[in-house]
Amino acid sequence: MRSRFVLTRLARGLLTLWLIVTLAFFALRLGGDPVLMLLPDTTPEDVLAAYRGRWGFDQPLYVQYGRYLVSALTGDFGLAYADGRDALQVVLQRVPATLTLAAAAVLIGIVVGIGGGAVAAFRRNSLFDRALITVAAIGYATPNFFFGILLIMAFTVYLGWLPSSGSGSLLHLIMPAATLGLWTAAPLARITRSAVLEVLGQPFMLTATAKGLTPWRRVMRHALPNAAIPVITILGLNVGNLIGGAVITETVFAWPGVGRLTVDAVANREVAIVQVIVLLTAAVMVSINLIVDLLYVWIDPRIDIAGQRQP
Amino acid sequence: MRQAGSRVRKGRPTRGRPSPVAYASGAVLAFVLLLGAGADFIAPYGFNDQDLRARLQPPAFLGGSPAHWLGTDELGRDIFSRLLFSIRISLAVALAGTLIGAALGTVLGFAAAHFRGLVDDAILLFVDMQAALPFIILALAALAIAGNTFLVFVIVLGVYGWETFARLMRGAVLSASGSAYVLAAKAIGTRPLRIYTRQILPNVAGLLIVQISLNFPATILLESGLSFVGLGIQPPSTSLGLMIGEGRDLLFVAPWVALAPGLTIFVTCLAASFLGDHMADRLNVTLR
Repeated sequence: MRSRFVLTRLARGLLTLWLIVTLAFFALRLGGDPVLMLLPDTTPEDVLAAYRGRWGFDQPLYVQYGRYLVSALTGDFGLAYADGRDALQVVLQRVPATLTLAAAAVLIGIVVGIGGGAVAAFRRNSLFDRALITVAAIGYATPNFFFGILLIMAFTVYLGWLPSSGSGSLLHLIMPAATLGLWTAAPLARITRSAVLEVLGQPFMLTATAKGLTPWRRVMRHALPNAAIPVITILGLNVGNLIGGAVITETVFAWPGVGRLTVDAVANREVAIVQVIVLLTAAVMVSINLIVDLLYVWIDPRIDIAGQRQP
Repeated sequence: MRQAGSRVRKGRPTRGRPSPVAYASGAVLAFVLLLGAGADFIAPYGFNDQDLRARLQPPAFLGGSPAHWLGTDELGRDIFSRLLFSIRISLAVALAGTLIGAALGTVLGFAAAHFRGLVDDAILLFVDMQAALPFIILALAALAIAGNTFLVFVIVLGVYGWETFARLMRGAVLSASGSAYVLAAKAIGTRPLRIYTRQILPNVAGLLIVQISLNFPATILLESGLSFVGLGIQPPSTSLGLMIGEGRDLLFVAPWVALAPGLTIFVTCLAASFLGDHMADRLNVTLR
Protein backbone atom coordinates (compact mmCIF):
# COMPACT_ATOMS: atom_id res chain seq x y z
CA MET A 1 0.00 0.00 0.00
CA ARG A 2 2.63 2.44 1.15
CA SER A 3 4.98 1.78 -1.76
CA ARG A 4 2.15 2.17 -4.25
CA PHE A 5 1.24 5.50 -2.69
CA VAL A 6 4.84 6.67 -2.95
CA LEU A 7 5.12 5.51 -6.57
CA THR A 8 1.87 7.23 -7.59
CA ARG A 9 3.02 10.47 -6.04
CA LEU A 10 6.46 10.14 -7.61
CA ALA A 11 4.92 9.54 -11.04
CA ARG A 12 2.71 12.61 -10.65
CA GLY A 13 5.70 14.68 -9.64
CA LEU A 14 7.70 13.54 -12.66
CA LEU A 15 4.72 14.27 -14.93
CA THR A 16 4.55 17.81 -13.58
CA LEU A 17 8.28 18.26 -14.16
CA TRP A 18 8.02 16.97 -17.71
CA LEU A 19 5.13 19.35 -18.39
CA ILE A 20 7.11 22.31 -17.09
CA VAL A 21 10.15 21.33 -19.15
CA THR A 22 7.92 21.05 -22.20
CA LEU A 23 6.19 24.34 -21.49
CA ALA A 24 9.55 26.06 -21.15
CA PHE A 25 10.53 24.64 -24.55
CA PHE A 26 7.42 25.86 -26.32
CA ALA A 27 7.26 29.19 -24.50
CA LEU A 28 10.64 30.10 -25.92
CA ARG A 29 9.55 29.18 -29.46
CA LEU A 30 5.97 30.39 -29.39
CA GLY A 31 6.84 34.06 -29.29
CA GLY A 32 8.69 34.02 -32.61
CA ASP A 33 12.31 33.44 -33.55
CA PRO A 34 14.18 32.53 -30.35
CA VAL A 35 17.49 33.75 -31.77
CA LEU A 36 16.05 37.24 -32.12
CA MET A 37 15.01 37.09 -28.47
CA LEU A 38 18.31 35.81 -27.19
CA LEU A 39 20.61 38.10 -29.12
CA PRO A 40 20.75 41.90 -29.03
CA ASP A 41 18.49 43.76 -31.46
CA THR A 42 21.40 45.10 -33.50
CA THR A 43 22.90 41.69 -34.34
CA PRO A 44 23.59 41.41 -38.12
CA GLU A 45 21.62 38.82 -40.09
CA ASP A 46 24.59 36.52 -40.89
CA VAL A 47 25.50 36.28 -37.19
CA LEU A 48 21.86 35.47 -36.39
CA ALA A 49 21.95 32.70 -39.00
CA ALA A 50 25.19 31.33 -37.56
CA TYR A 51 23.71 31.18 -34.06
CA ARG A 52 20.51 29.67 -35.41
CA GLY A 53 22.63 26.82 -36.76
CA ARG A 54 24.83 26.54 -33.68
CA TRP A 55 21.87 26.35 -31.29
CA GLY A 56 19.95 24.02 -33.59
CA PHE A 57 17.00 26.37 -34.14
CA ASP A 58 17.09 25.62 -37.89
CA GLN A 59 16.05 21.99 -37.24
CA PRO A 60 12.44 20.73 -37.38
CA LEU A 61 10.57 21.27 -34.13
CA TYR A 62 10.41 17.58 -33.11
CA VAL A 63 14.18 17.23 -33.58
CA GLN A 64 14.73 20.31 -31.44
CA TYR A 65 12.38 18.96 -28.78
CA GLY A 66 14.08 15.54 -28.72
CA ARG A 67 17.52 17.11 -28.42
CA TYR A 68 16.22 19.46 -25.75
CA LEU A 69 14.83 16.60 -23.65
CA VAL A 70 18.06 14.61 -23.95
CA SER A 71 20.21 17.56 -22.98
CA ALA A 72 17.90 18.48 -20.09
CA LEU A 73 18.18 14.90 -18.80
CA THR A 74 21.96 15.02 -19.01
CA GLY A 75 22.08 18.38 -17.27
CA ASP A 76 23.20 20.27 -20.35
CA PHE A 77 21.17 23.48 -20.47
CA GLY A 78 23.46 25.46 -22.70
CA LEU A 79 25.86 28.27 -21.95
CA ALA A 80 25.42 31.61 -20.32
CA TYR A 81 25.43 34.19 -23.07
CA ALA A 82 27.58 36.80 -21.32
CA ASP A 83 30.61 34.74 -20.27
CA GLY A 84 30.10 31.38 -21.96
CA ARG A 85 30.05 29.43 -18.72
CA ASP A 86 27.86 26.36 -18.32
CA ALA A 87 24.42 27.61 -17.23
CA LEU A 88 23.87 24.76 -14.77
CA GLN A 89 27.22 25.46 -13.10
CA VAL A 90 26.45 29.16 -12.82
CA VAL A 91 23.22 28.36 -10.97
CA LEU A 92 24.62 25.56 -8.80
CA GLN A 93 27.36 27.87 -7.61
CA ARG A 94 24.72 30.12 -6.07
CA VAL A 95 22.70 27.36 -4.42
CA PRO A 96 24.63 27.13 -1.11
CA ALA A 97 24.05 30.81 -0.30
CA THR A 98 20.32 30.46 -0.94
CA LEU A 99 20.11 27.22 1.05
CA THR A 100 21.81 28.90 4.02
CA LEU A 101 19.37 31.79 3.86
CA ALA A 102 16.35 29.52 3.40
CA ALA A 103 17.36 27.22 6.27
CA ALA A 104 17.78 30.15 8.63
CA ALA A 105 14.46 31.61 7.47
CA VAL A 106 12.59 28.32 7.92
CA LEU A 107 14.08 27.96 11.38
CA ILE A 108 12.86 31.44 12.30
CA GLY A 109 9.51 30.71 10.69
CA ILE A 110 9.06 27.49 12.68
CA VAL A 111 10.18 28.93 16.01
CA VAL A 112 8.30 32.22 15.73
CA GLY A 113 5.34 31.05 13.65
CA ILE A 114 4.55 27.59 15.02
CA GLY A 115 5.82 28.37 18.53
CA GLY A 116 4.04 31.71 18.66
CA GLY A 117 0.83 30.33 17.15
CA ALA A 118 0.73 27.43 19.62
CA VAL A 119 1.39 29.65 22.64
CA ALA A 120 -1.27 32.10 21.43
CA ALA A 121 -3.80 29.27 21.18
CA PHE A 122 -3.04 28.00 24.69
CA ARG A 123 -3.32 31.52 26.08
CA ARG A 124 -6.31 32.47 24.00
CA ASN A 125 -7.47 36.10 24.27
CA SER A 126 -4.43 36.97 26.31
CA LEU A 127 -2.39 40.04 25.50
CA PHE A 128 0.13 37.80 23.74
CA ASP A 129 -2.60 36.24 21.63
CA ARG A 130 -4.00 39.59 20.50
CA ALA A 131 -0.56 41.00 19.85
CA LEU A 132 0.32 37.98 17.73
CA ILE A 133 -2.86 38.22 15.64
CA THR A 134 -2.23 41.90 15.01
CA VAL A 135 1.41 41.40 14.13
CA ALA A 136 0.52 38.53 11.78
CA ALA A 137 -2.05 40.72 10.00
CA ILE A 138 0.52 43.47 9.67
CA GLY A 139 3.07 40.93 8.46
CA TYR A 140 0.69 39.94 5.67
CA ALA A 141 0.43 43.49 4.37
CA THR A 142 4.09 44.44 4.59
CA PRO A 143 6.01 43.90 1.39
CA ASN A 144 9.07 41.94 2.48
CA PHE A 145 11.41 44.27 0.61
CA PHE A 146 10.00 47.18 2.62
CA PHE A 147 10.44 45.24 5.86
CA GLY A 148 14.04 44.58 4.83
CA ILE A 149 14.53 48.28 4.22
CA LEU A 150 13.10 49.11 7.65
CA LEU A 151 15.58 46.66 9.18
CA ILE A 152 18.46 48.29 7.30
CA MET A 153 17.31 51.71 8.53
CA ALA A 154 17.18 50.52 12.11
CA PHE A 155 20.20 48.25 12.39
CA THR A 156 22.56 49.72 9.82
CA VAL A 157 21.73 53.39 9.42
CA TYR A 158 20.79 54.29 12.99
CA LEU A 159 22.39 51.68 15.22
CA GLY A 160 25.26 50.70 12.95
CA TRP A 161 25.22 47.13 14.25
CA LEU A 162 24.74 45.08 11.10
CA PRO A 163 26.08 45.28 7.53
CA SER A 164 23.35 46.21 5.03
CA SER A 165 24.53 44.01 2.20
CA GLY A 166 26.83 41.21 1.15
CA SER A 167 27.59 37.88 2.77
CA GLY A 168 30.38 36.00 4.47
CA SER A 169 29.62 36.18 8.16
CA LEU A 170 26.82 35.38 10.55
CA LEU A 171 26.22 39.12 10.95
CA HIS A 172 25.45 39.36 7.23
CA LEU A 173 22.89 36.59 7.56
CA ILE A 174 20.81 38.09 10.37
CA MET A 175 18.77 40.70 8.50
CA PRO A 176 18.05 38.71 5.32
CA ALA A 177 17.09 35.67 7.40
CA ALA A 178 14.86 37.78 9.64
CA THR A 179 13.18 39.39 6.62
CA LEU A 180 12.47 36.08 4.94
CA GLY A 181 11.79 34.25 8.21
CA LEU A 182 9.24 36.64 9.67
CA TRP A 183 7.47 36.75 6.33
CA THR A 184 7.21 32.94 6.53
CA ALA A 185 6.16 33.09 10.16
CA ALA A 186 3.02 35.24 9.68
CA PRO A 187 0.85 32.66 7.86
CA LEU A 188 2.31 29.83 9.98
CA ALA A 189 1.36 31.61 13.20
CA ARG A 190 -2.20 32.12 11.99
CA ILE A 191 -2.75 28.55 10.86
CA THR A 192 -1.02 27.01 13.91
CA ARG A 193 -3.15 29.09 16.24
CA SER A 194 -6.42 28.04 14.64
CA ALA A 195 -5.33 24.40 14.25
CA VAL A 196 -4.34 24.14 17.92
CA LEU A 197 -7.55 25.90 18.99
CA GLU A 198 -9.52 23.34 17.02
CA VAL A 199 -7.69 20.45 18.65
CA LEU A 200 -8.05 21.89 22.16
CA GLY A 201 -11.83 21.64 21.79
CA GLN A 202 -11.70 17.90 21.01
CA PRO A 203 -12.95 15.34 23.53
CA PHE A 204 -9.60 13.53 23.69
CA MET A 205 -7.98 16.65 25.10
CA LEU A 206 -10.54 16.62 27.89
CA THR A 207 -9.75 12.95 28.44
CA ALA A 208 -6.05 13.71 28.56
CA THR A 209 -6.66 16.36 31.20
CA ALA A 210 -8.98 14.05 33.13
CA LYS A 211 -6.35 11.31 33.09
CA GLY A 212 -4.11 13.74 34.93
CA LEU A 213 -1.44 14.09 32.23
CA THR A 214 1.05 16.88 32.70
CA PRO A 215 0.48 19.96 30.53
CA TRP A 216 3.74 19.24 28.69
CA ARG A 217 2.61 15.74 27.77
CA ARG A 218 -0.84 16.96 26.78
CA VAL A 219 0.70 19.47 24.42
CA MET A 220 3.49 17.37 22.96
CA ARG A 221 1.71 14.01 22.69
CA HIS A 222 -1.88 15.02 22.07
CA ALA A 223 -2.36 18.58 20.90
CA LEU A 224 0.53 19.23 18.52
CA PRO A 225 0.50 15.94 16.52
CA ASN A 226 -3.21 16.41 15.88
CA ALA A 227 -2.72 20.00 14.78
CA ALA A 228 0.17 19.03 12.53
CA ILE A 229 -1.64 18.32 9.25
CA PRO A 230 -2.77 21.87 8.39
CA VAL A 231 0.49 23.28 9.73
CA ILE A 232 2.58 20.99 7.53
CA THR A 233 0.36 21.76 4.55
CA ILE A 234 0.99 25.47 4.98
CA LEU A 235 4.68 24.85 5.60
CA GLY A 236 4.86 22.89 2.33
CA LEU A 237 2.91 25.52 0.41
CA ASN A 238 5.18 28.13 1.89
CA VAL A 239 8.23 26.73 0.18
CA GLY A 240 6.98 28.39 -2.98
CA ASN A 241 6.56 31.68 -1.12
CA LEU A 242 9.99 31.20 0.38
CA ILE A 243 11.57 30.86 -3.05
CA GLY A 244 9.62 33.85 -4.32
CA GLY A 245 10.54 35.81 -1.20
CA ALA A 246 14.19 34.86 -1.62
CA VAL A 247 14.24 36.54 -5.04
CA ILE A 248 13.23 39.85 -3.46
CA THR A 249 15.11 39.48 -0.16
CA GLU A 250 18.38 38.58 -1.84
CA THR A 251 18.06 41.66 -4.01
CA VAL A 252 17.43 43.93 -1.01
CA PHE A 253 20.50 42.69 0.85
CA ALA A 254 22.70 41.91 -2.16
CA TRP A 255 22.83 38.31 -0.96
CA PRO A 256 24.71 36.27 -3.59
CA GLY A 257 22.15 33.50 -4.02
CA VAL A 258 19.97 32.06 -6.77
CA GLY A 259 17.28 34.70 -6.22
CA ARG A 260 19.56 37.57 -7.06
CA LEU A 261 20.97 35.57 -9.97
CA THR A 262 17.41 35.20 -11.28
CA VAL A 263 16.85 38.95 -11.26
CA ASP A 264 20.20 39.61 -12.94
CA ALA A 265 19.60 36.86 -15.50
CA VAL A 266 16.17 38.23 -16.41
CA ALA A 267 17.52 41.78 -16.66
CA ASN A 268 20.23 40.54 -19.04
CA ARG A 269 17.87 38.10 -20.76
CA GLU A 270 20.09 35.12 -19.99
CA VAL A 271 17.41 32.66 -21.04
CA ALA A 272 19.60 29.58 -20.48
CA ILE A 273 20.14 30.52 -16.84
CA VAL A 274 16.49 31.41 -16.30
CA GLN A 275 15.53 28.05 -17.75
CA VAL A 276 17.80 26.19 -15.32
CA ILE A 277 16.35 28.17 -12.42
CA VAL A 278 12.76 27.43 -13.48
CA LEU A 279 13.44 23.70 -13.74
CA LEU A 280 15.44 23.61 -10.51
CA THR A 281 12.66 25.44 -8.67
CA ALA A 282 10.05 23.10 -10.10
CA ALA A 283 12.15 20.08 -9.05
CA VAL A 284 12.48 21.45 -5.53
CA MET A 285 8.75 22.18 -5.29
CA VAL A 286 7.79 18.75 -6.59
CA SER A 287 10.14 17.08 -4.11
CA ILE A 288 8.80 19.14 -1.23
CA ASN A 289 5.22 18.27 -2.17
CA LEU A 290 6.20 14.61 -2.22
CA ILE A 291 7.81 14.90 1.22
CA VAL A 292 4.71 16.67 2.56
CA ASP A 293 2.50 13.87 1.20
CA LEU A 294 4.71 11.28 2.87
CA LEU A 295 4.65 13.23 6.13
CA TYR A 296 0.85 13.17 6.08
CA VAL A 297 0.83 9.39 5.99
CA TRP A 298 3.47 9.20 8.67
CA ILE A 299 1.63 11.58 10.99
CA ASP A 300 -1.86 10.33 10.30
CA PRO A 301 -2.00 6.69 9.18
CA ARG A 302 -5.71 7.11 8.40
CA ILE A 303 -4.83 8.97 5.24
CA ASP A 304 -5.04 6.62 2.28
CA ILE A 305 -3.59 6.67 -1.21
CA ALA A 306 -6.03 9.20 -2.57
CA GLY A 307 -4.88 11.60 0.11
CA GLN A 308 -8.28 11.59 1.77
CA ARG A 309 -8.73 11.28 5.48
CA GLN A 310 -10.70 8.15 6.34
CA PRO A 311 -13.46 8.48 8.90
CA MET B 1 -14.65 35.45 20.38
CA ARG B 2 -14.96 35.72 16.66
CA GLN B 3 -15.05 31.99 16.14
CA ALA B 4 -17.81 31.43 18.64
CA GLY B 5 -19.81 34.17 16.98
CA SER B 6 -19.45 32.80 13.49
CA ARG B 7 -20.46 29.35 14.68
CA VAL B 8 -23.76 30.69 15.89
CA ARG B 9 -24.37 32.61 12.70
CA LYS B 10 -23.42 29.74 10.43
CA GLY B 11 -25.74 29.07 7.53
CA ARG B 12 -27.40 32.43 7.13
CA PRO B 13 -25.99 35.66 5.83
CA THR B 14 -24.64 37.96 8.49
CA ARG B 15 -26.44 41.25 8.51
CA GLY B 16 -24.36 42.84 11.24
CA ARG B 17 -23.20 46.38 10.81
CA PRO B 18 -19.69 46.75 9.35
CA SER B 19 -17.08 47.05 12.07
CA PRO B 20 -15.23 50.33 12.66
CA VAL B 21 -12.16 48.63 11.18
CA ALA B 22 -14.09 47.98 7.96
CA TYR B 23 -15.22 51.60 7.79
CA ALA B 24 -11.70 52.85 8.46
CA SER B 25 -10.26 50.50 5.83
CA GLY B 26 -12.81 51.65 3.29
CA ALA B 27 -12.07 55.28 4.06
CA VAL B 28 -8.31 54.75 3.77
CA LEU B 29 -8.70 52.94 0.45
CA ALA B 30 -11.01 55.62 -0.90
CA PHE B 31 -8.56 58.30 0.16
CA VAL B 32 -5.61 56.56 -1.51
CA LEU B 33 -7.64 56.00 -4.69
CA LEU B 34 -8.64 59.67 -4.67
CA LEU B 35 -5.02 60.74 -4.33
CA GLY B 36 -4.07 58.60 -7.30
CA ALA B 37 -7.02 59.68 -9.43
CA GLY B 38 -6.50 63.35 -8.65
CA ALA B 39 -2.73 63.29 -9.05
CA ASP B 40 -2.89 65.80 -11.92
CA PHE B 41 -4.67 68.36 -9.76
CA ILE B 42 -3.08 67.69 -6.37
CA ALA B 43 0.57 67.23 -7.32
CA PRO B 44 2.50 70.51 -7.03
CA TYR B 45 5.12 69.33 -9.57
CA GLY B 46 5.38 66.89 -12.44
CA PHE B 47 6.66 63.47 -11.33
CA ASN B 48 9.81 63.85 -13.44
CA ASP B 49 10.45 67.56 -12.86
CA GLN B 50 14.03 67.87 -11.67
CA ASP B 51 15.44 70.68 -9.60
CA LEU B 52 19.11 69.93 -9.09
CA ARG B 53 19.42 72.91 -6.72
CA ALA B 54 17.06 71.16 -4.32
CA ARG B 55 18.51 67.64 -4.21
CA LEU B 56 17.85 65.33 -1.23
CA GLN B 57 15.80 67.87 0.70
CA PRO B 58 14.30 66.38 3.87
CA PRO B 59 10.52 66.49 4.41
CA ALA B 60 9.09 69.76 5.76
CA PHE B 61 8.44 68.24 9.20
CA LEU B 62 12.10 67.23 9.43
CA GLY B 63 13.36 70.71 8.75
CA GLY B 64 13.01 70.83 4.97
CA SER B 65 11.33 73.56 2.99
CA PRO B 66 7.53 73.67 2.71
CA ALA B 67 7.94 73.74 -1.07
CA HIS B 68 8.63 69.96 -0.96
CA TRP B 69 6.78 68.79 2.09
CA LEU B 70 7.76 65.13 1.66
CA GLY B 71 11.28 66.08 0.54
CA THR B 72 13.09 65.42 -2.73
CA ASP B 73 15.22 62.63 -4.19
CA GLU B 74 18.74 62.65 -5.62
CA LEU B 75 17.58 64.45 -8.76
CA GLY B 76 15.60 67.04 -6.83
CA ARG B 77 12.27 65.50 -7.83
CA ASP B 78 9.39 66.20 -5.45
CA ILE B 79 8.61 63.02 -3.47
CA PHE B 80 4.98 63.97 -2.84
CA SER B 81 4.28 64.49 -6.54
CA ARG B 82 6.08 61.29 -7.47
CA LEU B 83 4.14 59.46 -4.78
CA LEU B 84 0.79 60.57 -6.18
CA PHE B 85 1.62 59.47 -9.72
CA SER B 86 3.14 56.24 -8.38
CA ILE B 87 -0.09 55.50 -6.52
CA ARG B 88 -2.02 56.05 -9.72
CA ILE B 89 0.20 53.80 -11.83
CA SER B 90 0.66 51.03 -9.24
CA LEU B 91 -3.02 50.82 -8.35
CA ALA B 92 -4.17 51.08 -11.95
CA VAL B 93 -1.80 48.33 -13.06
CA ALA B 94 -2.72 46.14 -10.09
CA LEU B 95 -6.42 46.68 -10.69
CA ALA B 96 -6.05 45.88 -14.38
CA GLY B 97 -4.06 42.77 -13.50
CA THR B 98 -6.67 41.65 -10.97
CA LEU B 99 -9.57 42.18 -13.37
CA ILE B 100 -7.79 40.38 -16.22
CA GLY B 101 -7.08 37.48 -13.88
CA ALA B 102 -10.67 37.43 -12.65
CA ALA B 103 -12.06 37.48 -16.20
CA LEU B 104 -9.64 34.83 -17.45
CA GLY B 105 -10.19 32.59 -14.43
CA THR B 106 -13.96 32.98 -14.56
CA VAL B 107 -14.20 32.15 -18.26
CA LEU B 108 -11.89 29.13 -17.88
CA GLY B 109 -13.65 28.01 -14.70
CA PHE B 110 -17.03 28.23 -16.45
CA ALA B 111 -15.61 26.40 -19.48
CA ALA B 112 -14.19 23.62 -17.28
CA ALA B 113 -17.53 23.16 -15.54
CA HIS B 114 -19.54 23.38 -18.76
CA PHE B 115 -17.57 21.08 -21.03
CA ARG B 116 -16.20 18.77 -18.31
CA GLY B 117 -14.18 15.82 -19.61
CA LEU B 118 -11.04 16.71 -21.54
CA VAL B 119 -11.45 20.49 -21.31
CA ASP B 120 -11.89 20.22 -17.56
CA ASP B 121 -8.82 17.99 -17.25
CA ALA B 122 -6.71 20.29 -19.38
CA ILE B 123 -7.68 23.40 -17.40
CA LEU B 124 -7.10 21.64 -14.08
CA LEU B 125 -3.71 20.49 -15.36
CA PHE B 126 -2.70 24.11 -15.94
CA VAL B 127 -4.04 25.05 -12.51
CA ASP B 128 -1.86 22.34 -10.95
CA MET B 129 1.14 23.35 -13.01
CA GLN B 130 0.89 26.94 -11.96
CA ALA B 131 0.66 25.81 -8.35
CA ALA B 132 3.88 23.83 -8.84
CA LEU B 133 5.95 26.97 -9.43
CA PRO B 134 6.26 30.09 -7.31
CA PHE B 135 4.51 32.74 -9.37
CA ILE B 136 7.36 35.21 -9.23
CA ILE B 137 9.64 32.67 -10.97
CA LEU B 138 7.02 32.17 -13.65
CA ALA B 139 6.64 35.94 -14.01
CA LEU B 140 10.39 36.45 -14.28
CA ALA B 141 10.69 33.66 -16.86
CA ALA B 142 7.93 35.28 -18.92
CA LEU B 143 9.67 38.65 -18.73
CA ALA B 144 12.98 37.04 -19.74
CA ILE B 145 11.48 35.34 -22.76
CA ALA B 146 8.95 37.91 -23.96
CA GLY B 147 10.96 40.97 -23.03
CA ASN B 148 10.32 43.50 -20.33
CA THR B 149 7.66 45.72 -21.87
CA PHE B 150 4.69 47.38 -20.21
CA LEU B 151 2.21 45.16 -22.05
CA VAL B 152 3.99 41.93 -21.06
CA PHE B 153 4.14 43.18 -17.48
CA VAL B 154 0.38 43.84 -17.31
CA ILE B 155 -0.33 40.44 -18.88
CA VAL B 156 1.94 38.80 -16.29
CA LEU B 157 0.03 40.55 -13.49
CA GLY B 158 -3.20 39.45 -15.15
CA VAL B 159 -2.15 35.82 -15.24
CA TYR B 160 -1.36 36.06 -11.52
CA GLY B 161 -4.15 34.49 -9.52
CA TRP B 162 -6.22 33.28 -12.49
CA GLU B 163 -6.00 29.72 -11.17
CA THR B 164 -7.72 30.63 -7.90
CA PHE B 165 -10.55 32.29 -9.81
CA ALA B 166 -10.77 29.30 -12.16
CA ARG B 167 -10.94 26.77 -9.33
CA LEU B 168 -13.44 28.87 -7.41
CA MET B 169 -15.74 29.49 -10.39
CA ARG B 170 -15.55 25.91 -11.58
CA GLY B 171 -16.70 24.72 -8.17
CA ALA B 172 -19.42 27.36 -7.99
CA VAL B 173 -20.81 26.50 -11.41
CA LEU B 174 -20.71 22.77 -10.73
CA SER B 175 -22.73 23.24 -7.57
CA ALA B 176 -25.10 25.76 -9.18
CA SER B 177 -25.85 23.56 -12.20
CA GLY B 178 -27.86 21.20 -10.04
CA SER B 179 -29.85 23.96 -8.38
CA ALA B 180 -33.51 24.68 -9.05
CA TYR B 181 -33.07 28.03 -10.77
CA VAL B 182 -30.63 26.63 -13.33
CA LEU B 183 -32.80 23.59 -13.98
CA ALA B 184 -35.80 25.86 -14.38
CA ALA B 185 -33.93 28.06 -16.85
CA LYS B 186 -32.87 24.97 -18.78
CA ALA B 187 -36.42 23.64 -18.77
CA ILE B 188 -37.79 26.74 -20.46
CA GLY B 189 -35.08 26.39 -23.11
CA THR B 190 -32.69 29.17 -22.15
CA ARG B 191 -29.43 28.98 -24.08
CA PRO B 192 -26.38 27.91 -21.99
CA LEU B 193 -24.52 31.20 -22.56
CA ARG B 194 -27.52 33.12 -21.25
CA ILE B 195 -27.78 30.84 -18.23
CA TYR B 196 -24.15 31.50 -17.42
CA THR B 197 -24.26 35.27 -17.85
CA ARG B 198 -27.76 36.03 -16.59
CA GLN B 199 -28.41 33.31 -14.02
CA ILE B 200 -25.22 31.85 -12.59
CA LEU B 201 -22.91 34.87 -12.76
CA PRO B 202 -25.09 37.14 -10.60
CA ASN B 203 -25.40 34.31 -8.10
CA VAL B 204 -21.65 33.78 -7.75
CA ALA B 205 -20.87 37.51 -7.89
CA GLY B 206 -20.33 37.72 -4.13
CA LEU B 207 -17.69 35.02 -4.26
CA LEU B 208 -16.06 36.75 -7.20
CA ILE B 209 -15.97 40.14 -5.49
CA VAL B 210 -14.43 38.69 -2.33
CA GLN B 211 -11.73 36.92 -4.32
CA ILE B 212 -11.06 40.10 -6.30
CA SER B 213 -10.67 42.04 -3.07
CA LEU B 214 -8.21 39.44 -1.78
CA ASN B 215 -6.31 39.25 -5.05
CA PHE B 216 -5.96 43.02 -5.41
CA PRO B 217 -3.52 43.64 -2.50
CA ALA B 218 -1.54 40.54 -3.52
CA THR B 219 -1.23 41.98 -7.03
CA ILE B 220 -0.08 45.32 -5.61
CA LEU B 221 2.64 43.45 -3.72
CA LEU B 222 3.66 41.52 -6.84
CA GLU B 223 3.76 44.70 -8.94
CA SER B 224 5.79 46.59 -6.37
CA GLY B 225 8.11 43.63 -5.80
CA LEU B 226 8.89 43.26 -9.50
CA SER B 227 9.25 47.01 -9.96
CA PHE B 228 11.46 47.14 -6.87
CA VAL B 229 13.98 44.72 -8.35
CA GLY B 230 13.87 46.71 -11.59
CA LEU B 231 11.85 44.22 -13.66
CA GLY B 232 8.45 45.88 -13.59
CA ILE B 233 7.47 49.45 -14.40
CA GLN B 234 10.47 51.13 -16.01
CA PRO B 235 11.71 54.72 -15.71
CA PRO B 236 10.89 57.37 -16.87
CA SER B 237 7.54 56.09 -15.64
CA THR B 238 7.18 55.57 -11.92
CA SER B 239 5.52 53.21 -9.45
CA LEU B 240 5.55 52.61 -5.71
CA GLY B 241 7.92 49.65 -5.99
CA LEU B 242 10.20 51.54 -8.35
CA MET B 243 10.38 54.45 -5.89
CA ILE B 244 11.38 52.11 -3.07
CA GLY B 245 14.02 50.59 -5.32
CA GLU B 246 15.43 54.05 -6.00
CA GLY B 247 15.31 54.83 -2.29
CA ARG B 248 17.16 51.60 -1.43
CA ASP B 249 20.48 53.18 -2.41
CA LEU B 250 19.73 56.41 -0.57
CA LEU B 251 18.90 54.96 2.85
CA PHE B 252 21.92 56.55 4.50
CA VAL B 253 21.38 60.04 3.13
CA ALA B 254 17.66 60.26 2.39
CA PRO B 255 15.56 57.53 4.05
CA TRP B 256 12.32 59.39 3.22
CA VAL B 257 12.66 58.48 -0.45
CA ALA B 258 11.94 54.81 0.37
CA LEU B 259 9.74 55.39 3.43
CA ALA B 260 6.97 57.38 1.73
CA PRO B 261 6.11 54.76 -0.95
CA GLY B 262 6.77 51.88 1.48
CA LEU B 263 4.28 53.19 4.02
CA THR B 264 1.79 53.86 1.23
CA ILE B 265 1.94 50.25 0.02
CA PHE B 266 1.71 49.01 3.59
CA VAL B 267 -1.34 51.10 4.48
CA THR B 268 -3.10 50.37 1.18
CA CYS B 269 -2.56 46.61 1.38
CA LEU B 270 -3.55 46.48 5.03
CA ALA B 271 -6.77 48.38 4.33
CA ALA B 272 -7.54 46.29 1.24
CA SER B 273 -7.03 42.98 3.02
CA PHE B 274 -9.05 44.07 6.08
CA LEU B 275 -11.84 45.05 3.74
CA GLY B 276 -11.52 41.74 1.87
CA ASP B 277 -11.66 39.75 5.11
CA HIS B 278 -14.62 41.76 6.21
CA MET B 279 -16.51 41.14 2.98
CA ALA B 280 -15.70 37.43 3.15
CA ASP B 281 -17.13 37.38 6.69
CA ARG B 282 -20.17 39.38 5.72
CA LEU B 283 -21.03 37.39 2.64
CA ASN B 284 -20.24 34.28 4.65
CA VAL B 285 -18.25 32.69 1.88
CA THR B 286 -15.55 30.17 2.53
CA LEU B 287 -12.67 30.39 0.14
CA ARG B 288 -10.29 27.54 -0.63
